Amino acid sequence: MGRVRVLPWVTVENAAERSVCERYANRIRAYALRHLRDSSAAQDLVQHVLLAVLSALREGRIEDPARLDAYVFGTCRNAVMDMRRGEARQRRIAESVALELPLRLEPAWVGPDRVRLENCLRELEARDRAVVLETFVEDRNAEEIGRALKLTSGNVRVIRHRALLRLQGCMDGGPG
Amino acid sequence: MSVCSKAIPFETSVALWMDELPADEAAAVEEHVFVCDECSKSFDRFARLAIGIRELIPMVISHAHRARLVNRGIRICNTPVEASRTTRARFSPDLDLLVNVLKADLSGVDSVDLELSSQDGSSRLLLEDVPFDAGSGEVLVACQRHYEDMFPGDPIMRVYAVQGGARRHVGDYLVEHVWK
Repeated sequence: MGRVRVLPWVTVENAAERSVCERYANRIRAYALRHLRDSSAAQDLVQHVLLAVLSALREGRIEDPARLDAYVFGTCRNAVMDMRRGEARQRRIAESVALELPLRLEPAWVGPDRVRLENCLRELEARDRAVVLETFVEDRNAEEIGRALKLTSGNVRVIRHRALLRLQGCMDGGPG
Repeated sequence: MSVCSKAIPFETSVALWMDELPADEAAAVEEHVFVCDECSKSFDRFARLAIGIRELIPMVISHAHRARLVNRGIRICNTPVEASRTTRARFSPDLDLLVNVLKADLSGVDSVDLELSSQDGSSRLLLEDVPFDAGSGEVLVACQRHYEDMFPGDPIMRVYAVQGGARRHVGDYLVEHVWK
């Protein structure tokens, strides 16, 4: 198998590398989204970590293939810490990725359907929708939301959890 | 795909995302979620939903949210809109967002509702308890490109104020949008 561009932004040398990209791309992205809360920054991190892992594999720096999960996870963790050290570092990571990938195409990852998500949110009860939007859009924790809505933080967590389950079900093909 | 013997419950994924787990537990859950086929898929689904909500621009936004969007580099055109007058706003190609700034006296108001309805009355959408700024007397309606076909024609935006349990009509607003 020759060089192929399997994930749109990563050229892989062989089937083993391809399977590494397929196994880890979404895991790295989910990890990055949790820590960075930004899909563009998460995208940069996916590319950065995959390049680092593929380089390590090509150079034989991963001695025990059974430890690959731990290696990728550790690389992810270090990269996020680097990115958190400052925007300048974050910019350098993005620039290094761009330099190493002369033909950078759009990533395959697609976020949720925005119109569907808006419809699903509208299907929620007003209070549940308010809790969800306050949580994710306004970045408020359960205590802050509880104070604003005259609820206990425990109630807020239960409302939030149930609303998110309903949203997930709606996005997966339920009403909405 | 391997079967997980200790699948992470949905509420634990939410708590992990929200940084509500004790540090030791968070580290263990995060590592498990990363290496486990089943849990990584579940967490990826949740992360997509969470970031989707986070990056969503609600139809009515707070002033703080507008400031964050500006900081993120979103190109916004603010159009002041007075009640009972027709205002024109152009969604030119260099813009990401039109913000229709509905002007009203909202002093002392507890909450604000916004109703959007098509001019022929065939479609109606009620948004309750929307963000507003009593000081400036403004409700910010964030008009996005994918709204173009939401209503047949430009909707009437009807603002209601709730004060002391009573709801009163504040005004009707109409913006003629030019979408190109």
